[in-house]
Amino acid sequence: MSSAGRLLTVLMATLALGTGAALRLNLSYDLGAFLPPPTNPAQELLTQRLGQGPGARLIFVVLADIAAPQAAMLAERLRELPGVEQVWPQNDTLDVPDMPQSLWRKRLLLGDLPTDEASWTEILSQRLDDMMFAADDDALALIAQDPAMLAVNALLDFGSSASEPEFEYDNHRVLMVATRAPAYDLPAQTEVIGDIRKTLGGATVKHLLGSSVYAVDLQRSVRFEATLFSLIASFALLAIMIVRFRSAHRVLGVALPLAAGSALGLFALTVLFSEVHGITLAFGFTLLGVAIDYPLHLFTHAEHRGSRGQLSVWPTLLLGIASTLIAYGAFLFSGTSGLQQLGVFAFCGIVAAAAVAAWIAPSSAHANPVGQVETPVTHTSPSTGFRYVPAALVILLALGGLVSNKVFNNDLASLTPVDARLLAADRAVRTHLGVTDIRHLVAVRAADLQACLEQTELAVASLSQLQRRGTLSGLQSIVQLLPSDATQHRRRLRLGDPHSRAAFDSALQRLPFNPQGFASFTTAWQAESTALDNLSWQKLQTEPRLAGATNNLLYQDGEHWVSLVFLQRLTDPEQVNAELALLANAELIDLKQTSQDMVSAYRDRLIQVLATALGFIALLLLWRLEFRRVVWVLLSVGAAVCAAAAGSATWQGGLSLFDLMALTLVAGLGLDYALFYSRPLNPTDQLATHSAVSICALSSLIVFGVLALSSIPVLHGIGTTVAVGVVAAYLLARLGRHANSDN
Amino acid sequence: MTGHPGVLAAATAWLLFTITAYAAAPASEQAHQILTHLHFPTGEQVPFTQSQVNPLLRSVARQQGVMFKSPDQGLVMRVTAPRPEERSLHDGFMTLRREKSARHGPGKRTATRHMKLDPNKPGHLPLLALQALLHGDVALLGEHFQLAASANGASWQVSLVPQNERVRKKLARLLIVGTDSQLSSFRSERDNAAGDTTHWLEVVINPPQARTASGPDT
Repeated sequence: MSSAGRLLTVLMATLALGTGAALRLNLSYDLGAFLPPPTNPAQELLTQRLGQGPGARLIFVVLADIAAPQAAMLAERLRELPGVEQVWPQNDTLDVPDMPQSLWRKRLLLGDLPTDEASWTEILSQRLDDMMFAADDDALALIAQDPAMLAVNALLDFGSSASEPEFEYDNHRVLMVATRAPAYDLPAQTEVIGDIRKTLGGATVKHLLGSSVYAVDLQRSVRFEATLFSLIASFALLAIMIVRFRSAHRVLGVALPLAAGSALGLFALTVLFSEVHGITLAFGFTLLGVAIDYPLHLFTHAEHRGSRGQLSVWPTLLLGIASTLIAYGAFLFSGTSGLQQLGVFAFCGIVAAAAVAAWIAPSSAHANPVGQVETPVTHTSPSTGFRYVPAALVILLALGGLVSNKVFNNDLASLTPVDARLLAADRAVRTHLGVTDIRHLVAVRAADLQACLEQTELAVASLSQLQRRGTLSGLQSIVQLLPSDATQHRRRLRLGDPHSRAAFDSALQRLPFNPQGFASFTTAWQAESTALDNLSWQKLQTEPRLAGATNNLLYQDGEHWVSLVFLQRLTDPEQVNAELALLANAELIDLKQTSQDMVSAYRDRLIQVLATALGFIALLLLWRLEFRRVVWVLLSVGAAVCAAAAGSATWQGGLSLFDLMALTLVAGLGLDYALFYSRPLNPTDQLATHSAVSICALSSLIVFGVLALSSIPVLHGIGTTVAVGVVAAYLLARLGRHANSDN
Repeated sequence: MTGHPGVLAAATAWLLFTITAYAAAPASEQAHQILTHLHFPTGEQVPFTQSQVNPLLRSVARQQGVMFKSPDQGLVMRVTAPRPEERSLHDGFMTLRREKSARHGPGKRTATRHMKLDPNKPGHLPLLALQALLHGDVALLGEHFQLAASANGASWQVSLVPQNERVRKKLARLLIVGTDSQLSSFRSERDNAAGDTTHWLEVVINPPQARTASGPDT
């Protein structure tokens, strides 16, 4: 096949694979799939319920220059959006027909009825006030059948995430929107946030706050910056390739292996996994960057020595490819589906890129056998012993730098590019409104449902004491809607207490009520006091309005039941810990600390995997190369990785997970440079190698140097780390050339 | 200035003209004219009493307070007795602020509730009508009610019967009573099958007990 035919075949195959992958691609954003297996209940909770808590699903609309009624109208329109579950301030008219019927039938078991006349008088006086502005049949029916408003209060307590009077913040009206989708479901969040923005229309929105809002906006800005910098880098790369090769044919030949690798990697993912994680793609494309070196080596050597030059490159190139495959293949044994996906993508991508480079290289090389060749640089060879000194010094200095600074940064939040003022406003609004704490919640675990509910009631009783002391301003728990059987039994016994009924009758007499009007209530009271059935979890599940919220607060995890209590305006977590200390099954969970622990565990796992891979790579090198060369290669690669790590940790306040991926790439690139420069070469080969490695390094430096200009910390971090690593690896690898020359 | 003979004559002539015009006009047009000329200045606080009878009550329940129009076309009813609360009506919404005992912890807290007033709900329609009435929004009243008026000298009564048949079953009529351009009372009524009024709710503007400072009798 002609060279043009080969290029065309690869191009078509790449396009076909890419299209096939794009059509099958089902992106996932569930971070839980990317985290290591949980090792304790708190981590289990984090992975299972990530982003599903009520606090995480909230969006705050801070409106300027708007009166309460207009804000209420906007709230009404927002309530009609399909992705919106609830909007506060609530339109809290609740009529009997609107009540979840299973709850309404058992309303007298949802709270304690008063037992004294004074309390009944207070409650009935409030009902009298209610009548004065809404005395239609629905309102009167509600008052007549549930004068203590047990059902209404239970529903309002359960649904309310904030105290009503405080929906004003800093002289601005605030609307609080709870979305149906969890915070991490970015496609759903993108849709609902778009709908919210459209609905707000001409209203003056001072802030739109909430983690999902930032994620959606961030997605947009990341996509914009990634596209922008990719384009800039691609054009720069293209310019270098054009200047270097002066042939469209060859430039296409350099680009195709990378494109084919990406397409096959993506296609393999869509075949092997039902969903592909977004982070897998981000990391995967980063790792695949090393594949651009393969055609560059082949073409450059072909320019200098034709097909003989290409043949001479293959042993070293294959060693580099094999080492990279070992490193990337190690991800397959990581134990987390996210890293396994990354392994599949990178492994398949490298194999495809190498194969394509091999297949098209001869044709491309022949297409322009005599390229523009750089003038060789004359070097003074250092002594054999001296060549180790710079690498060793770099390692010592870098390790010193790493030790004196914080090596790892486990706090993913520190990587957020969200404006600090916006985050401050977010915190202030949440605190002001007293919404459920995103960071802390109480989890109660028990072997069976009733034990779980009873333990939750004990925890809620303890937490209510803290609420009275001001440590928290409110809480949301399943027991507000579903008391344990024991509590329902106790309340039923109280219903049979004749003193309570007498107190109610006396209070009615003191007020202008007609006792006959409450006949349905007293009949229900009598009936419930002798009833046998309780409000059950199964019955609550039949209520479509409640199922979503209740499932979020109570669920079965294997053989255990887990009940979550969400806290509002928690000021002192230690007091909660102290209060819950006596309850064996209840614990306060700090989701931030748990996520940091998991990130740390994930990082340790990653390091373990990469260290194992390094061991195998060392064995491979020892098998194929002489010992001194292996020592040199590993030393120079280690020095480049250490330099990049130290630089990155110093500038960014610690290495993140993303930097670890960048360091893996640095190791791959460094290995490539060191292997090529340390080859035993004749002067022509030396010139070709220098030319090839220089163009490889320059390409990587430009691509990642451009990425380092990004305002997105993650992209900036990856760019900086790889750019520093490439410079270090290249300079150190060049010393290897002299070392080998000495031999 | 009112003592000036010219002004007095002009005022008398205008009054005579309007009364004559009311008497000559068809009932709905007369109602329209009366309601259009109602005088209720923005910002002026006017005492009111609100009374109610319904099947859940054995005697009249009363509240008293002050009401005023807010500049943004709203109406605020500030109840002072027997228990303080505030209702703000604006653009089809009511915001209710009421002091309640805190359920968790000592002291009282102000609870705020927001309600969308639905013109198809018999309990909400009178509130919407009262707001429209005080702001002279006769078009809105005409949209939901059939208007009829009767006059006796300077006194008049306008009857508003809901257009919606379903609502009419539970809200027979609103009766608005006044003298000259002043509103005296606003009353909603519901009849049973026998034609007896079983529910009523009445807001009396500037009532005699407000002038004598006597308390409510709930």
